Amino acid sequence: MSENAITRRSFLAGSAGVAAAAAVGFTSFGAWQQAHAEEEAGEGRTEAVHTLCNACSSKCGYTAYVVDGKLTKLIGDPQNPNASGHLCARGYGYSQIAYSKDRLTDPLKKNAQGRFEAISWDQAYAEIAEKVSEIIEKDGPGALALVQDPRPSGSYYAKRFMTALGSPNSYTHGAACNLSKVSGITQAIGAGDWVSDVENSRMTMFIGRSYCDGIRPSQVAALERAYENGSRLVMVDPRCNNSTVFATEWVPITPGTDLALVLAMSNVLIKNHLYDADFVAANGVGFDEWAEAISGCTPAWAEQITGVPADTIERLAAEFAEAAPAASIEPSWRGAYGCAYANSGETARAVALFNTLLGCWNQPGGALLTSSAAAGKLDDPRFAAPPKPEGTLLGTAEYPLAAASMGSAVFAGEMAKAGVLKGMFFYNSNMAAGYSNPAYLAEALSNLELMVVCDVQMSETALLADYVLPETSYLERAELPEFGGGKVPYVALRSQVLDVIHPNTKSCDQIFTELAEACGVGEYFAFTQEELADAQLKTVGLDLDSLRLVGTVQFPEKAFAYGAAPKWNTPTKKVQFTSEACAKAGLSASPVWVEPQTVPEDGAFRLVGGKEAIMTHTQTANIPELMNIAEQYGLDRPWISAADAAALGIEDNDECVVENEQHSGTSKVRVTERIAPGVVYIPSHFGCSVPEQHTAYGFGLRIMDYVPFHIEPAYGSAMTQEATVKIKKVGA
Amino acid sequence: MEDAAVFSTLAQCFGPVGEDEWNELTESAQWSDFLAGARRLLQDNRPLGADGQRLSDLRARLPLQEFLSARELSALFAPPSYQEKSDFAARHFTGGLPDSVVPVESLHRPAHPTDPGVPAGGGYLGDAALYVRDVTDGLGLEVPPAFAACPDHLALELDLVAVLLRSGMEGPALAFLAERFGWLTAYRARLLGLDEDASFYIGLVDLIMGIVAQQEPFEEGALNGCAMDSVA
Repeated sequence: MSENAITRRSFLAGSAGVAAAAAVGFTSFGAWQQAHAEEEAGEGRTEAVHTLCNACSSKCGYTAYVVDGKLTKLIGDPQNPNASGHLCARGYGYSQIAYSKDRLTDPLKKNAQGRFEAISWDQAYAEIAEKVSEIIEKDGPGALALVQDPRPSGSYYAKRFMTALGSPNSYTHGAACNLSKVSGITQAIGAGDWVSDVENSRMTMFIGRSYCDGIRPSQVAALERAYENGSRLVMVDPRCNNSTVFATEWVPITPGTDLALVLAMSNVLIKNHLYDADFVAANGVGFDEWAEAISGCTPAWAEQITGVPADTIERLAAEFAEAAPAASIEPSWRGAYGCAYANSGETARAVALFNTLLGCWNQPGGALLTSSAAAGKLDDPRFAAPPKPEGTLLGTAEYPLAAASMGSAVFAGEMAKAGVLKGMFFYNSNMAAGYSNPAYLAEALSNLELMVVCDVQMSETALLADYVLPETSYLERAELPEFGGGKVPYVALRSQVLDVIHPNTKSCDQIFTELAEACGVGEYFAFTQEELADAQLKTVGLDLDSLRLVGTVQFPEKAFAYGAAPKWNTPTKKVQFTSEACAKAGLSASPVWVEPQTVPEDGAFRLVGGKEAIMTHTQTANIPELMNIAEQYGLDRPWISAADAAALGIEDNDECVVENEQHSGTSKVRVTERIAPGVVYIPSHFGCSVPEQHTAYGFGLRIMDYVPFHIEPAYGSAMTQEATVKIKKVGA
Repeated sequence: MEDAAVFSTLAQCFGPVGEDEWNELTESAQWSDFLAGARRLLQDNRPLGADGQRLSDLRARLPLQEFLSARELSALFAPPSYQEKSDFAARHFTGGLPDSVVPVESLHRPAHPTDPGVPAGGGYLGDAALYVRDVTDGLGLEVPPAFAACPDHLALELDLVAVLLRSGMEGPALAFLAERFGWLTAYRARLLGLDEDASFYIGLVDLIMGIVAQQEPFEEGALNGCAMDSVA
């Protein structure tokens, strides 16, 4: 073949200058491997960068070590209060997402045949902007919405983009996470959360929460210290979760009945005058009404509902009274009442009131209302907020108790189906697989005129989109500072660890800035992420360069102090044993027993989900290193109690059919004494239906397939455990 | 010299090229020249880059049919238009799609070949990528930004063989050819699994694998010659 200009063309810059003398620069692969191994061992070119994990919402701080441009080691930062010097297995494993073969590498558009094709960023922006403009012109900006699982930059940029377009419809994933918990607690005490001082407590009860499954290393360490200190640690959970190794006792309970347990324990405290009457009198409003309302909630009554023996309930209440004020019910997160049942918000409210009976607020070993660090007001006009959109967040009227900072994303799905919402953006959110019934959500979201998803790998949600915008992985981007709370407030920083691996991917700040420019609202994004980060940090006496050096800075001058009575940020400025807002929303003014919506028929089991120590989210399931462990230990298997299995002729590892009206699937099952009879547990992170996720695809059952689409009254959550299933051996 | 042109052409088939360049490359005479060069590489009993052949080494001229199926052959004789090539790349040479078959070595080699407990199928920037990047650096070349995630992209690996040949580095070219293209067996299987007709690319892969097989008798000497070299 002859050489000419076209056949001499090379992709390699500088190829014309290679001379034979450069042969000394060539080495075989074997020789290179040996030299490379020696180089890594010597760590001659190691770079250390402080950054934040992204495997879950804890965002633990760690130091990433990079050799020759490749991530080689992660060490939890001791000064980061979430990590406390450690990372969990998910944190280590999820870092490999950067190199995943399933990474999205280019902007995608769905073609007329319904298949995705790569397009340029310019084309993507132009076409999205044109459609946004059409929707606004035809239906107004309120026909647009955003759903995101907030991350440091995303929570700022994505929401600001939506606001700049004039839409009030920014939702978080909360409706499928902790919306009911936050909203219910807020009705009682005016704050959405507290910190149980576990390690200093004499007694702490966990309801459906497991520090050793949804791991934040500092919490595991605190639990361990509490155990070593002889604290009474009570795990209330249908599943004997992994935290039970530190527990004094496991209290198996009928799913969805935690409210009855809390009401009955409250009843015992009140009836026996074991509560802190002075604290209640000084801080509460409506106590007498609540006491009267729950006077029939005796331990015997609760036993019938919860399956927890009456004497156990009586004893637990008495033990709480004895341990108080160094005692509390831990606030939980998603667990049993973050978003699970028709009574989740009311359970959260009751838990906060129970702690009030203990008089444990801000007491050593009790429930602490700590503060968070936050950036101050920014004077630079470039950072001024866009005008407040007209109208209110969709769902505010229907679910008035839902925390406004989260909103009900599942209601947004319903509005997409109804044709009220025309265009939706999703950032770091796999709503279609994880928020409620996937079949319903697929139908609802398919009704949109415009659907844009920003992610690092294809997801069930992205599959439904018109456009998919590829983001850099969290290791390849810097983000805005993460301000956090706790006993000592802090600020931490996600710095860029790796060079951008796929040159046609972009960070979320860049994507939303450029989207805004294309949509004609670029004036609200006339700054760089670094400029904004530096400005935010200067309001707390820091700057970007100095925070990069250390990763996390704590503010000891703002540290929590025991003993100070909290200021209750409720309408009445008191702990609200009765809530006017709840009554107005159609609930009882004070929390009383509310039945779960779903009652099992004969032969059916209540379905519960939950995290596992190495897997917690659909995003972690596509990591080969984590999946390898899951496969080895059969972590995808549904759990069924030994008693139920015996009655059904099922043995451990039998292939079984798990079915209900929504779905039928088969899986090997785990027969165990570690789950209450009448309950089936399915891990909440498997069952991926996206072929593009080569590791996760088709592994395990997806719990949401069994959950009908429905929304918790008043609070707006997805009621993710209001479902029952039947189970039988294949062929039986 | 003509062998280098064959590898450059192969590289451009798998890499991003402009419309004018592709049209020029696939123009009838030019493309016939490429196929003839490829056929000689499949037949000649000579090391890569060697000039001519001794009469005693000449074998009967075997047509490409000996190496390729009728469908692949037909596809190779009718290369795709620029639009067809671009469309195929947008659907298949793009990451994260159901039908992604990105021609990158690290994606088609086991992540941990010595550890049977770890799932097969690596990610971007595996050892193959770092190796190619180091070799490229050592030669004073630069991996273009578009290939930052994948210095072990098939287009670059083929290109590197061409560059080595043009630079009179036949031994390193042969060593590189012997070590780097084993993953194409797995890659070919992925192309075969596509719903869409990928005969053109399968045909090209078969050509490369045929050339690699033809060079086997000469590999040992080339590898021995390179093993003692050090990274520059």
